[in-house]
Amino acid sequence: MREVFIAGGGMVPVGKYAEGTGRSVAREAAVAALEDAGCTYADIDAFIAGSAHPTSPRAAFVAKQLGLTGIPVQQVINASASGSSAIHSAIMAVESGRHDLVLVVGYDVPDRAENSLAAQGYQPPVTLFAQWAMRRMHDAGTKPEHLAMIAAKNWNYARSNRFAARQSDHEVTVEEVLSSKVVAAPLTAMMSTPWCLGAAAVIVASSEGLAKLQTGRRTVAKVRASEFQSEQYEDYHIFDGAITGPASMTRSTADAAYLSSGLKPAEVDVVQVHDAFAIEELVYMELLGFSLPGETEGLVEQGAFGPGSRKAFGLPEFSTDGGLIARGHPGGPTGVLQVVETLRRFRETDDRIGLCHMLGAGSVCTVQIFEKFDA
Amino acid sequence: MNEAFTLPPAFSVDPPSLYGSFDPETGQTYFPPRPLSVDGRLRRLDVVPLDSEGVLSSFTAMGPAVYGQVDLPSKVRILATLSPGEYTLGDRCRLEIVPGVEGKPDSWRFTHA
Repeated sequence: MREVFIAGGGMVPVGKYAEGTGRSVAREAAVAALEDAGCTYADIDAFIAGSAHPTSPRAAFVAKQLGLTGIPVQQVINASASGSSAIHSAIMAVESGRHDLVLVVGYDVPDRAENSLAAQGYQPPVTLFAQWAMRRMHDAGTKPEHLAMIAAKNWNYARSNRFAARQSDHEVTVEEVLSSKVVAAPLTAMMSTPWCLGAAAVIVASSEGLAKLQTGRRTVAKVRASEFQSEQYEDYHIFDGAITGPASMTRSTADAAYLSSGLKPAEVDVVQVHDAFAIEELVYMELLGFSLPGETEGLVEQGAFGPGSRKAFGLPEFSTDGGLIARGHPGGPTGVLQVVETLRRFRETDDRIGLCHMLGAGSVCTVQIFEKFDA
Repeated sequence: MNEAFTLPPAFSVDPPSLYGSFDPETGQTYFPPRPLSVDGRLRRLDVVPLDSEGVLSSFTAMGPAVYGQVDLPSKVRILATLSPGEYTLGDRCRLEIVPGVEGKPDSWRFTHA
């Protein structure tokens, strides 16, 4: 199979957008990605959209905003993993030799205000993750302070991300996170993702596709792995609701990604995860292979997984654009935003290996690993 | 109506019970009821009443509502609303039918056993 690259990325600010503006919002993210990659829509071989909300615009209408060139247009709807699922499909299309340049646009700006994702199942989504936290506090001695440390880290990362939904004008403290409104104990509002919208796009390219781009030598992201799994049954399985599957799904998808990439967790410099709630990031640190149960809380207390973690602890930084908690979780764009952030880190820091992890309620999991590549 | 296209009820008021699906080949039970086995081999499953008591695996409160996960002896985890009150992980909880009022249908929740 062929090598695959992320040639460019773009986004619009994560935040609030008026009903009916979805096509425009998605279009502007696509234009930003096309310009970043050094091409136009006329160069694109296929368009794949990822959107989570049923009333966000159909892909054909978004694609038509960019041009009527006759290329295949399709849409992936896969809850929070819609964007990363769309990227996975694009990677397969390029890997197979079918296409050289694929535009992936993740977007969500519903035409009608509704949140069907929050209405599914037996319990509100936040309560499911609050129960993760309650169970972990019981089993592992985790304290609300640990969750607040993770949330504060992500809020403070977002302070330097001008596209983030939440941008504090001051250094966010653990005490501030703990004292924010309790949503579902022990999770507070500042430990939880806000409701927001937006769009992000990337260009997925083959080597031949890269050669067509109108740019000089520049940094892109080489795809080392793109793995995609769904739930496997286990005892006490939860079938319905805004669930993100048994923990084993994240672990097995990550294991598959490490196997297919030939990389180990110790080689990963930067990680983006589905941290809609702070407890998730804590759990994924272990499930993705970066720490062991019993040591993770202590590492967080020492500042691991935050700025400077790679040098101080040999561990990657997590959620460097603020993650779902602070950059925001607009739905379809989220998995694409993670890849855009990984590309930014390759261009602006010493990071060479990045891992992106997404979950889609229902449940599905993607783990993608990228390597810095100077094209 | 063709039974292949309808899901069995998840609970009944009389007798008060939740229902799940039982796979005679594996001995596994699932909630809510599902027509087919989880291994993809398309075995039709039996509808069975579930245990009415279990152990509280976790819980949280969101405003006045209390939500929990109750583990039944058949290795089924029920996501449930809990009756108002104080809870601790490991508490024994039992099914409780909540009569509908003002035109709302009957529902179910778990409460202290």
